[in-house]
Amino acid sequence: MPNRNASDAAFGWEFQFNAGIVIMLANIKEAREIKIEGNTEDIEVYYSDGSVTYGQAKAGRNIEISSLKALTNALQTLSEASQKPNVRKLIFVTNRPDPFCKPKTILRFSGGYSCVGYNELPLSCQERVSELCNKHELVLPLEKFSVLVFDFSGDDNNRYRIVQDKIDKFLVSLDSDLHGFGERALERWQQDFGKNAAQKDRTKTISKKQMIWPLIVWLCNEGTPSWLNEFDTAEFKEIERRYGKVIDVQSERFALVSKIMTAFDQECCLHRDTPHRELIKMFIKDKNELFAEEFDLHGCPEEIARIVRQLTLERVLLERFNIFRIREAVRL
Amino acid sequence: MIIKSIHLRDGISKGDFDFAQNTIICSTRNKAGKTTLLRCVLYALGYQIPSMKGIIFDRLEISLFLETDKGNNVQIFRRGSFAELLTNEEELHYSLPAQQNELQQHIFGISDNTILSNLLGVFYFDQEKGWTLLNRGKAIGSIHFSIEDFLRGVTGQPCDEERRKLKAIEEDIRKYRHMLDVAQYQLDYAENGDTIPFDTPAEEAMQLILQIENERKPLELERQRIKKAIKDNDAFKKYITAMKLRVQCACGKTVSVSEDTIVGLRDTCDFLFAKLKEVEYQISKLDNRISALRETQAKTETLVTVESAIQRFATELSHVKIDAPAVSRILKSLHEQKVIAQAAIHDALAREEQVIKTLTESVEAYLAEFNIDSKFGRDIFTSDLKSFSGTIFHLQVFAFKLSYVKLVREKTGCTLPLVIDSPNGREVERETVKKMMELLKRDFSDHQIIIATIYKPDPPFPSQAEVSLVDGILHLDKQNNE
Repeated sequence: MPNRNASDAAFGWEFQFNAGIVIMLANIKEAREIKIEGNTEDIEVYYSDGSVTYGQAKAGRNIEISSLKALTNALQTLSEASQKPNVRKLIFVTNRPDPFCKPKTILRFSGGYSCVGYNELPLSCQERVSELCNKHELVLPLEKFSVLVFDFSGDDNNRYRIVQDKIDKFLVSLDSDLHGFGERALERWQQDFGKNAAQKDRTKTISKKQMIWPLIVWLCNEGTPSWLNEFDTAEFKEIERRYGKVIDVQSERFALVSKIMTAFDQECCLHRDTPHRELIKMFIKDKNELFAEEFDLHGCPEEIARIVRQLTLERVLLERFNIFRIREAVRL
Repeated sequence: MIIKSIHLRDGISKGDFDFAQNTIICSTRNKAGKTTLLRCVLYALGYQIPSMKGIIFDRLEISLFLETDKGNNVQIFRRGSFAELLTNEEELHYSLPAQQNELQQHIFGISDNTILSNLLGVFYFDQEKGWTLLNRGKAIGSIHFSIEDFLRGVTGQPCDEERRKLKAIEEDIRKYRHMLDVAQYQLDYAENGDTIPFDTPAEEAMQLILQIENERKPLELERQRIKKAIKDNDAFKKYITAMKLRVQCACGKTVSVSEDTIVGLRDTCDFLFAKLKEVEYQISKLDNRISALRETQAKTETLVTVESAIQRFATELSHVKIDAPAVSRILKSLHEQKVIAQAAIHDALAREEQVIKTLTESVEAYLAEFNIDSKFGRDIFTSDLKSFSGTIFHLQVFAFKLSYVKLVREKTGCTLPLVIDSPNGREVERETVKKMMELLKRDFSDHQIIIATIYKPDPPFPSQAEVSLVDGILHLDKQNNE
């Protein structure tokens, strides 16, 4: 009798979209977008070159029970997916540390996270795949086949231990200032991926842009980095508080942003040997008067107006600096 | 002033009663309507008389015919808060109780409002409260009598400033007493082992909702600002691209100026869009919390409605911090101030020696007629009523009130009717009552005397009329009903 326990179904569904996060992060540079619960597979990652990775997720509440049936079903659907054009990878994703029902190989997959290509699989596992393909007459391009096993068990947040770890490492690889945003990113992406899985329209995807831009916003909202601490005094803070709205509006106005960036680029050309951070500091300090006419600060003492301009320049430059770095890092 | 007749109507029931100079309203048994009839008369005179069992004054239509001291015939019609005064010359309308004094100025011919406010306690001996009202207290319902106020009116000594001060002190005392009551309530609650419940789940949810809504406000403003920035940049983009500009790169290549070729434009737009999404995400999180809280609120509100009123009351009180010892100290001080303020008024009145002397002598003389020691009338301002009881107190009240009536006549010229309910009292001997009646006949023959009693005066009053009641004052109006 089939198990129709809703909780098990919810568990499997949750595993599916968390696996999607893990796979997307692992392929972030080349991936363009991802679909959870796609037309063909549970997880479909689309790349900029037009290729697609298909993932079949099979989760078990009790990870100690291995399931040959789950493996067989996964191989069957992956075999079908392999018939699609531009297949990059075919991944069997599971939380069971004995994915091939070969207990002797359990150590190979029980480290919390392991992603292994067919050629690197223990021989007994390779034999298991071949055996099932033969038995069920499945066509599976083995060079594209891999297995992703990560721990996803328990009833509390511990279940997301590996997913969280992958996210944390990814964020720090982008920018050390993103350290500490891990939980927020997990929450956000789980929500987005979960929603995507539930969408009836199977062509709706989550773009890399959609995943990465919030990180840039968080990073820019983080405040002044330590290397710019001369603009982080109590006086600057107070003026930022009082003139925050002016600074917000000006730093979001593309006409001004463009002027600032053009002037900064010219400075960069003039001072090619000056380190980037030093150049930013010099520009904020010495060139803010170039933009005085852009600010409408009637009756404001010049000393304060100068700080408002400096804070605006700092904001614009840091934002562009962050956008540039993150975009480069993930090839956005 | 002579009350001549009264006509009552309540729907299809009615009652008509005529009065003479001396009228005895009698019945052989209690609850026949004697007191009700007297109170109907007072109600028609404009007083706020509380309704009685079986009769609601506000529903009655009452016409009272009387002759004023000046000899004018007056008809007063009253229904609820509306009163009409008809004479041969005029027809005046009053809204009661606001214009009670104006109406009674016409009726009694007394212009001083202080006297008018205390007049009922002078001429009316209520069955329940009248025979215990000596110099301060309630005449009936919430109508007060105070000898100090009465004398202030009679002597034309207003003491306005002192009165204002005393009133303010009394008001403060009343409030502080309430505070002490609350403190006592909290203490009782604690002593009974009940903890005063703090907010109910619904109230907690409400407070959280308000808190979240406050968090939401700046985010909403931020959203609007970013949306405007996006719109402004979009307009800028359209403006530039609409010009169809083409620029030449350093390498000599020609490039069209478009959304894709303007350096930094896409980043700015994407960044703003991401910022907008971030703010909207925060807002939606708060909205979800608000929705969940509203659900909780809706679910628990049902519980709250069945929660006892006492519990809700206790909840509200739990927020009130009262320093009971401090309040007690304040109260003590206010009582001291009250005594001083009262003394100031008393001193002002005491300067009116002649009036006080007249009143005291009158009281003492009446008491002497009843063979009561004159010490019971020596201090007309006494507050010590504990030592008075039984017949002596009954007669003392009688002596005081007759003296008040005499004083009003002397000072204002108004011949008040004496409306006396149950002069016999519980412990008063027939002989004493007879003496009381004799006294009325002798000294108040000019006044109308209306007495409600089971025992008819013997001998009767001169030209005595009788209103005999058997089973109430209202009867089916057969003529109208047929």
